[in-house]
Amino acid sequence: GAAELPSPPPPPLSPPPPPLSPPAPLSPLSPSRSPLLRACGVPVVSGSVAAQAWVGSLRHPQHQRLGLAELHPDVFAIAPRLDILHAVATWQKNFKRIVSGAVGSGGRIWGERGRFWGEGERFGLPNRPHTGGIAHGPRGPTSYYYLLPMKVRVLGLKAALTVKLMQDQLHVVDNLEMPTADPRYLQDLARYRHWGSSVLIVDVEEMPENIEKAVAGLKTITLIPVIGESPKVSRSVPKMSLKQPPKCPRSVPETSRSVPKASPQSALKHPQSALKHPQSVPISVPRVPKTSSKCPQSIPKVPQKPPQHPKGSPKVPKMPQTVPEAPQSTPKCPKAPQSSPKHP
Amino acid sequence: MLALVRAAGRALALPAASRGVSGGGGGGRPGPPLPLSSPLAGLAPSFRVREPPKPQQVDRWTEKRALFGVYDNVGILGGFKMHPKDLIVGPKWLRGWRGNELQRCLRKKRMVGDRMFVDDYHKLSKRIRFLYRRFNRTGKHR
Repeated sequence: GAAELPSPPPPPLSPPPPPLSPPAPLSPLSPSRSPLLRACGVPVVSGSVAAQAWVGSLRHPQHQRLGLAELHPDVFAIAPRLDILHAVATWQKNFKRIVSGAVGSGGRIWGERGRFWGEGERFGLPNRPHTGGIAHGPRGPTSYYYLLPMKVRVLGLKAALTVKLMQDQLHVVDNLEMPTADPRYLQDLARYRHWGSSVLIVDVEEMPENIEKAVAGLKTITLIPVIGESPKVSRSVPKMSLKQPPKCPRSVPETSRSVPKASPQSALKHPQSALKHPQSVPISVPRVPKTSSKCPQSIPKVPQKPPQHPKGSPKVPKMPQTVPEAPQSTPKCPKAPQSSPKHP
Repeated sequence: MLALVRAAGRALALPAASRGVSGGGGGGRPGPPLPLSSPLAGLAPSFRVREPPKPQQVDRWTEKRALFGVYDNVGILGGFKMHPKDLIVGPKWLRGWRGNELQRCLRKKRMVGDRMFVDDYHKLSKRIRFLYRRFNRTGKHR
């Protein structure tokens, strides 16, 4: 009920405002507007209509549909190319593969058969260096590297996003602020909102502590940062913070190959097969600890469980060391809102 | 002497169980008889039954499995500052590259040859020589 809400829900997004000319792609707006999306500078072709998605929040389990977000159809409403999804998934699996199996040929094994226990002296064996070797065995470390064309990989990302949106497995939230750092809250939330057996969470910038701690102990809920943007960002991918759809239930492992492990904003791990509807489990409304109205984001005193993660750190993959930190060209505005592309 | 040989022959003719040779896991001999009160009395087979292996329990949510494929699109989404081939872990001469056996040997010799052991370098050179002749001087395509 309304009495339980820690703070009044943010006002829903207004209908699309008139198009700006030209819209600044990354201009920050005041937080009073809906702090949701950044503008996408790519205009929508007049023939197609923007796709739409509900915007929710993690602060309360019933904050599921607070507003509406418009998504660019060139990314979220393309044709569902399952063949490209398969190709990209296979590529992701194989291009990193280096097989170390090595069996020597006859020439390589020459002289490697040692006689260490006096066989030669006792039985008078002739010196035979040619001992062993396999004619057609695997030779040395082998790599299976190849690259799909970049446009095919980009199309794979778009296809994955489209398929997930079409199957109601894509959920957008305004930000990842949670009332508690309790992993059980997140699990109950996922069950209450029918997100499926696993959840992949992606955010653009720094994640709040609560969600990092909550995810640290969980296995099926993953948190991934988006790779930092640069001024020459790919124009076809709008910037937004969104929560990825739930992954397929574990009962269908074989179809997991059909969905690429490619992601919208960055290298997200895509859920397994997007073709199965997530299982429904008994609903339990997660308990939201009451917070004061003055500081809605205050962390209530919840007994903190020690992180179950073996490393004891939040489950965020470490970026490779060679990536230089891209200086942020825009001021740090958490979720600088502006409506998505409009018809020109 | 002859009697010993005949005794040995008679012993070989007997089945293995009574010879006292113990094979792996009981050698096929039935165990002690079950008491009549047990539910399987008279129903257990008199031979050893080999069962199929139990399905191995695989954790589908290890760190590696849950985060497989992260950063594979680092170039596309990160402004092309990195390439996915930079993420590959492996021998230096094989990162982000693919070739047949001769090409791999040549590349290894070029990149790592000066650090190899003498014997290994010699064997690698022999392999290159053999493969070159095989590819370029034998067969239909040359």
